[in-house]
Amino acid sequence: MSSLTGSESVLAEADADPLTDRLLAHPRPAVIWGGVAALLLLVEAGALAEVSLRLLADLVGALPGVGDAASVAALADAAGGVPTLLSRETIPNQGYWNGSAYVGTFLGLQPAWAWLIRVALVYAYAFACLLWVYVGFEWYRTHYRVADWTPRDDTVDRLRGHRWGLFGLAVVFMFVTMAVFAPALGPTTVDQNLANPYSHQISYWTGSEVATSPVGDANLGSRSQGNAQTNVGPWSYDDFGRFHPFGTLPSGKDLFTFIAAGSRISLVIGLLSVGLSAGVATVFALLSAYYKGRVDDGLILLSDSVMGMPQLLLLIMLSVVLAGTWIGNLYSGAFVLALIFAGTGWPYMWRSLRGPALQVSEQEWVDAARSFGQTPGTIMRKHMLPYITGYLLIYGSMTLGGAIIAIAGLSFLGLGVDPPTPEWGRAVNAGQEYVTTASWHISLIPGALITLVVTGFNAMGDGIRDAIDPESDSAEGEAGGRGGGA
Amino acid sequence: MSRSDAPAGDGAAPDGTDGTDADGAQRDPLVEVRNLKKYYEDDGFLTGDPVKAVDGVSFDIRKGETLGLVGESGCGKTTLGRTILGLESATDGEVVSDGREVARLSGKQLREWQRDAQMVFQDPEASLNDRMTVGEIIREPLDAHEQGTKAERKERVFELIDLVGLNEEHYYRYPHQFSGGQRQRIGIARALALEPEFMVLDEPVSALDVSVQARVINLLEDLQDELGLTYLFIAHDLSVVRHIADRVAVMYLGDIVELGDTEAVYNDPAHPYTVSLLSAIPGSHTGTDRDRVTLRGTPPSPRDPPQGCRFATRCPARVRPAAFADLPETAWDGIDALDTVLRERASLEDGLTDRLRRSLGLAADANDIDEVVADLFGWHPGEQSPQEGEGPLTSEARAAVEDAVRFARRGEDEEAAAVLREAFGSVCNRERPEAHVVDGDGRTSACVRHTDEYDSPAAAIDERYARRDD
Repeated sequence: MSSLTGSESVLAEADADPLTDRLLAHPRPAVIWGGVAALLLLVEAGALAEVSLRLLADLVGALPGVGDAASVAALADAAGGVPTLLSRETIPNQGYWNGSAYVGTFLGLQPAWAWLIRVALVYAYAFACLLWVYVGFEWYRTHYRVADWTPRDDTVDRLRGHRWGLFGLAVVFMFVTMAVFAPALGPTTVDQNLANPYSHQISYWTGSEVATSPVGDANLGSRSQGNAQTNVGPWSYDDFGRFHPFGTLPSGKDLFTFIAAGSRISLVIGLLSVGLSAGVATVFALLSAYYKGRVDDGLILLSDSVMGMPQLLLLIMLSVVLAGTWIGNLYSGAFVLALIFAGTGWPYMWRSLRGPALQVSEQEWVDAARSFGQTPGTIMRKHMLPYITGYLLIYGSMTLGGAIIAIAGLSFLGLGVDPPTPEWGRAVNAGQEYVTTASWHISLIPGALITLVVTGFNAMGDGIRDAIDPESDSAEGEAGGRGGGA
Repeated sequence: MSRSDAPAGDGAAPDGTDGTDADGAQRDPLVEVRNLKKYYEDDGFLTGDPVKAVDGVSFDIRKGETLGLVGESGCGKTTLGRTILGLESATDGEVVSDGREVARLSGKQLREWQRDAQMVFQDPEASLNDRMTVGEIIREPLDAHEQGTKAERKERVFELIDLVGLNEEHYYRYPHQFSGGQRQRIGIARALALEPEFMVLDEPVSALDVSVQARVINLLEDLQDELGLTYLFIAHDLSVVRHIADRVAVMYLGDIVELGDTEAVYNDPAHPYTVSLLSAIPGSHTGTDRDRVTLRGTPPSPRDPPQGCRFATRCPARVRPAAFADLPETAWDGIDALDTVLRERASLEDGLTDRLRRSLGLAADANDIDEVVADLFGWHPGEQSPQEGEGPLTSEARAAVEDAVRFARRGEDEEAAAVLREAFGSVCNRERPEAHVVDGDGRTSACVRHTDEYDSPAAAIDERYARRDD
């Protein structure tokens, strides 16, 4: 049976080629894919450059005594001047009725239609990007990958048939798109409508002529305060001809713009805090599973101490202590919030990961690797980490939902992100006395969105779990995320 | 270390790999195991006795041979193999190979030992990482030791895949896609990657179908011939060991009881345990006209092994005190059974409530022990003193049993067992037997019956079975 001659060892050289050779041998799919990539990039190149430069400018400005923030910001402004397909300049929705036609809107359409077209285009673009990634994976699988099957294929196939998970994925996709394209999605801008309303002017049709007014004054005339006279509800125009998809806040500011900008800060805090705590939790889980004994005991002690600290009190105390310092001002205090969430949240995730990690560390292939002298670091990375990344994704996505709730809860209490930076919880808070009145939309819309997004993250976590481990039961109590928060 | 020249394809086998010959004694030892002990301590505050998985074994593994290691499940074979490789740290004793003491190696020498000694694991389902391709799995030892360039490593992996009888296109497959036998071939290829001299095969075929077992065994034999490997072959399947091993070591409860050339051991087992074990092979106890020697009960707990000979509690040839020479076999069966019961009761009563009740003088299970004695000897100790001649015991024997039972009824099982052993025990229960050389080829067997004082184990077993038949 066993052919031990060795003489007939004909190496399958074609199989052994590196990826570049396989690409050259069959370039068509790769070229098409690359072309689509270039196209997708091209229409948004200006925005991309602007965003990255502005991030750099923020960073340079935040770190004391480093570099010249002003010049980077100027560069960013220049990049912002490059026309992009999805910008508000290309498809403007802010215009006015001059008695016979709309002035300044896209193709002279009503502001509502112009806005809708832009939103639809933004989502179409985001969906095209998603499709591009997926097609890339499929083409790699069929045309370039040497292995005809990998365990990950089954995972993807199972996720594709998991409706609840796909629903979660869709919700998360919508949310992330909203956060990424927040400036383009709002019917107006944060700067014009929310932050500096008196530095901007708008033109409007008074009924007989076109007049101009500061945005701040217009806002005063478009307040939603519960009675039929002072209320601008969802999907309606105010007296100044401005379109409000979600209505206005009690202050007369646009709710949709507020929510779009707020989604960005929620996502950033969520990703940052979950990313940090997941990183810490993973490293600690691997260490305690591999070394066990004293290391494990020490980490249990540490995590118990952290879990014993009152999170809310710590939050209040630190936000007072750090207020006014450079780190406290970073991103309107959001950065510190994320750090505190990560610092107090990792033990929960570590506890959830430690069990699976311990299980993997008992597997024989770990022993096998030790027997031929593999280093502990590589054993943890290659032989243990792949088996807990599934859990990491599940707990991560569920914790992310919890983090979003927690941030909203803090803002609701008047803590957390500094006003006037938009935050969903603050909108809920602002509208709470109008819930039973004509201005019900102020609390209800952001509240419903928070619920939807958190449900979406949890559903995505469920879907990933079922996709990774088909035998697992959905009724796993531990994976509850960090709901509630404050 | 003399590293064998060509890794594969080269049929030139180093000398002395031509099977079970008598010149084995002249071969140099590759691995010397001396008084090796591995105890597992419980962690926690209330530590009891450690589990003595391996309790002081000494033997040599000679260059180019296959040493079979057999024994019942839980006797410490796997632990012994893992400790020799350094996967477990030894509690005491040493493993020496080529002047290197394995347990104390570090740095460069440790890397060398990890290259020279490899292990093939029992369960091919569990010993391969499912998330890596076969190529990555086999290449990993080479990567870990940074041997050659990337291209050379890859070429070597293809050689190994070919060597163990897999196809080259399997390089990019995942372990999921293979049968058990193929997976074990992958495991063997991984173990061979670093061109080791010595391999510990931990029940490499016990998880496989019988038809596949034969092929894997043949593969292992071919590889040994070709590459001049030395095997420590751990198994509980005695016929597989007879097929592959040059010498065989029989292990019982952390101790090696017999060690010698395979054919000699199988044809004429010296140690009573080997006799019982071989007698348990279905349909294969030919050679003697003796009845099947049955092994009673299960091995004692390795946490509390018997003093003296480990096998004394179940031994069919245990030395008996002269005072009770005329007791019938059924009486001895009963006494052995009672001893087992007392030992088990003694090891069980660790519970807090039991201890409390005992200290209050409330023996919970006084009735139980009476029942046991009634079952075993046909008389109830709780009732009036029995008639002479009732049951299998003589009056002295019964007095001794009654002494023991008295303690047991008070819940002092340990003392009861001691009393019983005092009366019916012998040298087997007191002294740990030394290994005696029992034939011209240096076979050793650890049993007191190999001294001139006593009959040989085989003779004793024959005599007792003959008495039983009467």
